Amino acid sequence: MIKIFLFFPLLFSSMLSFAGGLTIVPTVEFKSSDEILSEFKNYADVDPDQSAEHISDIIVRVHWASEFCLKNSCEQEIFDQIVRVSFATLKNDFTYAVGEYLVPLYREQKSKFEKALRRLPASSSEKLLKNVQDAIDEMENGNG
Amino acid sequence: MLLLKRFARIFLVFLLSSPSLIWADELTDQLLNTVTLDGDINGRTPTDFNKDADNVTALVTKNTKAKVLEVRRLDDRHHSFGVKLRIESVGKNGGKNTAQPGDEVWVYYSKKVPWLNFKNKEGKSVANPFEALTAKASKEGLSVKASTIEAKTKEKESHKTEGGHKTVCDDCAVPAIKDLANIGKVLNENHAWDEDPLVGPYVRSEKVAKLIDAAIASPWGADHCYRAVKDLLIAGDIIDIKPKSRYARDAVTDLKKKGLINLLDSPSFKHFIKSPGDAPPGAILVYSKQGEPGHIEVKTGRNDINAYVSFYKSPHSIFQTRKGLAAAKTKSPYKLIGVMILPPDKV
Repeated sequence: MIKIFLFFPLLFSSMLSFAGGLTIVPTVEFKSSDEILSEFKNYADVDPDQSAEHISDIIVRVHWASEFCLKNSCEQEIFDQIVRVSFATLKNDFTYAVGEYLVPLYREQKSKFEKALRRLPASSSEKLLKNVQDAIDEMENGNG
Repeated sequence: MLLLKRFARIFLVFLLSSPSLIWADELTDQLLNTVTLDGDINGRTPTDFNKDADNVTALVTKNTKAKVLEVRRLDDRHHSFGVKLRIESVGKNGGKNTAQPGDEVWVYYSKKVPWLNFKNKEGKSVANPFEALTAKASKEGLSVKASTIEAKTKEKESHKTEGGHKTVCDDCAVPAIKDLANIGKVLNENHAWDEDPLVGPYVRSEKVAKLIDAAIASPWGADHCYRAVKDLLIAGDIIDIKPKSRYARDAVTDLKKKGLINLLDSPSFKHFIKSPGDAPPGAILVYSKQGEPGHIEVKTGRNDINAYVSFYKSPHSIFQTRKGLAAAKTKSPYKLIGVMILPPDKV
């Protein structure tokens, strides 16, 4: 019994320290298109030399924006922003992380996605499209 | 007054826990029947028989004879038991990780698929291992040895264990898992891999030197990690033929079949290797990711862009890359499941 009483403060302090160690992971997913737009316009110029931590946060937001657009009808403007920001995260990213998060959107909303791609410079859209197609290939055929 | 209350509480806790202590003593006193195994069974340390439980210490092979030391009913399975055995004599040779006489291991027993046969005090076969525990030995003492029982299960089931889960290997020529599990020493933070008796020969080997050279020389831009690492393993003479599996998450099984060992099979190494940074240079690191192919990379041990090589080169393991960090934030993180090296006799 005594051990239990002693355990609670320890548990509580562990929880606090764990919470303190968390990074700036967004805790709420997008609830509206406006929210996505205002958030993504903050990434007008994604600095590719930002820390992996920061870029990964942006990738998570791309993931959530894609999820939102799968469940709701999104305007072309949102697609443009998703594609623009996604490509920005690809710069200097040797792991090509963003592709896998775009796969569902590419499959389900292909026309809007491709229209957004066309608004990027040709070389940029090719690179992003290849990234998405590689992610599809990996999911379907493995990576070996 | 406060002190008295504390003593009273401690006494109360002791009183509450004492029946279970007595029960445990009774069980160990009931050392009894010898059983013969009808098939190969994974021997484990604690009584966790889940498929993913990383506690297999040895392979108890067919026709091995053992004594029953303890029986525990498994709460989460119907008519399933954990049975602690002390190996008396070894059956067929199952490779280096075969359980040896004197080893004590936990094995899974199910009434539906009985690989172990128990006898009660009348000498009749019983399905419930608890009935065997209350048989001759408890009455006549520890020296009583019950008659052995012939194998009855079908041959095709001889490699099955644990309610349908297969043994850790298909051909039983598995690497030295037993050796790994028996490494009892606690590794401290200053542990030097190149001086470790198990890992050192690999770290210092020409094969690892070739592997690392190949990794550093490998071109950028390969499209898939496992494909790239397979090429590196061939270039480093770590394996002779590429595994056919397409998913990086299967590399632990693939590479075990090629003679490599997973350091995470050893409790002491697993305790020591808390992150990829703790793994020895030359190790092949295998990661799983829920619902996806996983990841694989070679750790070169260098402190530069070539530290981890896969389909890319990175100063950091996958955990610290954009890919790994994003995965961790979307509830599908990478998990390190394999730190693969060649054992000393293969380098």
